[in-house]
Amino acid sequence: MKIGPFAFSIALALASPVAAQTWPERVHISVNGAFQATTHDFSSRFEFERELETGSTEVGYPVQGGFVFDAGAGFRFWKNLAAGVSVSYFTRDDAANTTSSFPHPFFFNQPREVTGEAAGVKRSETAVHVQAMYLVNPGGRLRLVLSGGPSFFDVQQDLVTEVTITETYPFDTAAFGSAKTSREQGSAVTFNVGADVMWMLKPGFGVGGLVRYAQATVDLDAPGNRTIAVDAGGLYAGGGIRILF
Amino acid sequence: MSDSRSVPQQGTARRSAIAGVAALAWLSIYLMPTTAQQPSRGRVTIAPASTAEVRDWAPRIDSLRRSGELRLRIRRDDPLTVGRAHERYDQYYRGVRVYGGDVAEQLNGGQVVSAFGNVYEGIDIGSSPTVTAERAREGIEARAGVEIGREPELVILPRDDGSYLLAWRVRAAALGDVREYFVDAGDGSIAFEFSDLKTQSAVGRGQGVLGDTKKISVSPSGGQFVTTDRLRPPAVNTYDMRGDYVRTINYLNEVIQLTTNDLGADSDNTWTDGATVDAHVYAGWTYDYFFKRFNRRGLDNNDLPLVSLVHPVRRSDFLQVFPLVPDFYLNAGYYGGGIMVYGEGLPAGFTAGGQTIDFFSAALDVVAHELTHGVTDYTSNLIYQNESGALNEAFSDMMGTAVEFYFQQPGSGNLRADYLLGEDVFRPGGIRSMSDPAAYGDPDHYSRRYTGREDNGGVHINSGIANNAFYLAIEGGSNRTSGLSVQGVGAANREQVERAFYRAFTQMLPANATFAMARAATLQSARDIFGANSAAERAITQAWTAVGVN
Repeated sequence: MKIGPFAFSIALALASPVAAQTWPERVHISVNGAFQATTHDFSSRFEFERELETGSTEVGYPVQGGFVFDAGAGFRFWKNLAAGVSVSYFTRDDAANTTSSFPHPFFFNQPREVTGEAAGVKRSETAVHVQAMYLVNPGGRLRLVLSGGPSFFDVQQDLVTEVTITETYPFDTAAFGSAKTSREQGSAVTFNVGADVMWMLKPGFGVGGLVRYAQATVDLDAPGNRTIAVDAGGLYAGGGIRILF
Repeated sequence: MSDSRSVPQQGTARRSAIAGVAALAWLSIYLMPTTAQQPSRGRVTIAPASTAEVRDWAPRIDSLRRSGELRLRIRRDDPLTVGRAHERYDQYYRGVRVYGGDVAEQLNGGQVVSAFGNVYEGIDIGSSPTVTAERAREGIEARAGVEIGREPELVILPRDDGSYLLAWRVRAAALGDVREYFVDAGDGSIAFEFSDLKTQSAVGRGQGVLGDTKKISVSPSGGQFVTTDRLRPPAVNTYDMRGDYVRTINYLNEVIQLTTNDLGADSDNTWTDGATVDAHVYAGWTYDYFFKRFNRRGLDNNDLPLVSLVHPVRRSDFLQVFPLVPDFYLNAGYYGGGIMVYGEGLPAGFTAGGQTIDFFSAALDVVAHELTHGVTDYTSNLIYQNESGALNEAFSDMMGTAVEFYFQQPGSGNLRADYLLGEDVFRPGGIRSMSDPAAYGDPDHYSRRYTGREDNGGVHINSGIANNAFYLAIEGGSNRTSGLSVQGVGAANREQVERAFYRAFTQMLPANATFAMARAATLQSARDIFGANSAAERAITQAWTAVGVN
């Protein structure tokens, strides 16, 4: 995994005011809504046999950024060191663009190009981030948590497996009919690094801002006994409530 | 069936009346169409070709209706033409339906516009079955191994030999097939059966006569594939006559009907009989050309079924059979009604005029030529003699060549588009040239036209004049007799000349057209389509002038 220089510099910057005071609570809990900025467009290609020839379909999958739900907890086990776990969930539906080459029923080497759109292609990413945490209490209402550790990604992605067309005599052209999809699943292990800035509104309760970077590459089984490598995760930032006790 | 077989007698066959002439005599009359079809015994075909003929038929059909021999089955308004309606009538004999006897009428405000159908005459059998419907059904259930719920239908079954049979019609769906059985209502035997499975289409791989590989649109049937094209709008069927010339003639005379069993067949959908492959594929391509170029739907512009017959004789029977049916070896013919017969060619080791002669379906221009005769039949109906006959032939040559250029790469040699006719069958060289008709002994200038009586007044000879005009209008160049040069539209614009000629020949020329009329009509057509003083009009004008037609 590559740690983005932006995220890393944030972590260093926030870490510079080294703990001035102790962190009295044992447990802290965070619940966040965030925005994942990273896009993960990818494409795939598969072939099929039809009318005695080989046809093909290229599929472009736009995976834009979007809302991420993130929740986690940390347990301070010694001085300013803590261990924690967070779970993030990202999902969105996008339309995949297909470009297919369908052999002509009457003639060799006269394929028809058909473009179409497969709506509602779903992507979901669930990640479990295990973290070692360094807790910083500069004093006053401000708290800071620096974290890093392994992340376990589970990705589910709809992949176009077949494009159907509508065609009529003389078959020199064809129109997109529909796209069949199958939901494929893959997982990968990567690393995460993040920072959580808290503003305590009252003892044990506050709000916070979170930035985390965790990106993985997941292999998905694709039509034609092939594997597609897709990227998941990335940088996301958001905020939510903090509960400390 | 054997009692119905006979060798062709004078005046009975629909094909050209030139049987018995020595082989070389045929070389001057290749690719000729044929004349009107005679109905077979008992069966009366209703196919009026003109308003007058429709008027003649109308009272006869009305009489059958009033007598109860024709009963209305369905009436529907025409969804495409306001005010038109279509009625379908079934024929009955003593209250029993005559299988295959029906008439379809098109009406316009009560007036009969067209009528097509078949009715059977001379039926003289009892209408009371000896065998019960239940017994007939049980017999078929036992044979097909299925239980049949529907009630058998008592019908009069016309037979190939002209007789009639009272029969129970039983339809049975079994694994992979749907069959129609006709059980003799007298003794319970199965008199006739056929597969009625409306199968899906399939695309096979076919090897043509010249060894080329092409896709062939066929249909699965009974565990194999047959040459029925279900992808194109009309029925395109290619029948393998398996060298049975008597059966071929009987079919052409409507003495017998062909069935699914007569279709070309292949077990693995990899077709190796080149004559069948080429006839079937090229019929489809020709339909495609007329559809794509002119938006024409087949020969009659109404998706008339295309029927191709291959292997009407066997090459191995050449010495014995050739004297009886030489045109089944050395000719291809359009027999009317969408039916083509492709000759078998010469056996290995035989030549004619220094040329080998292959299966006639091997040449795309030959197939398209024959089918274009069908287009002419349904349009201008150019009379097949003298100048109109030469124009008839020329139009088939033009369209045959146009189809070649549409589907094949320009060049010389096998499977290339050029201005030779039949060069893929008659090797080397073909039988006619549009660019240089004189090289084959045909005139390229009106001043040299043939005025004798042979070949229907030189229909295959004087066609060279119009052919050369067509060639010059496209490619340009000089007429070899007049020396006049023509600025053609160029090969890239050949469509302009094709459209102008097609429109003139199918919509503007009368049946007894002359060369001068053809000039005027094609010029008018070019002006209508491309405008006055267009390149097409100029090229066609110069071309006709160059060949001496003014």
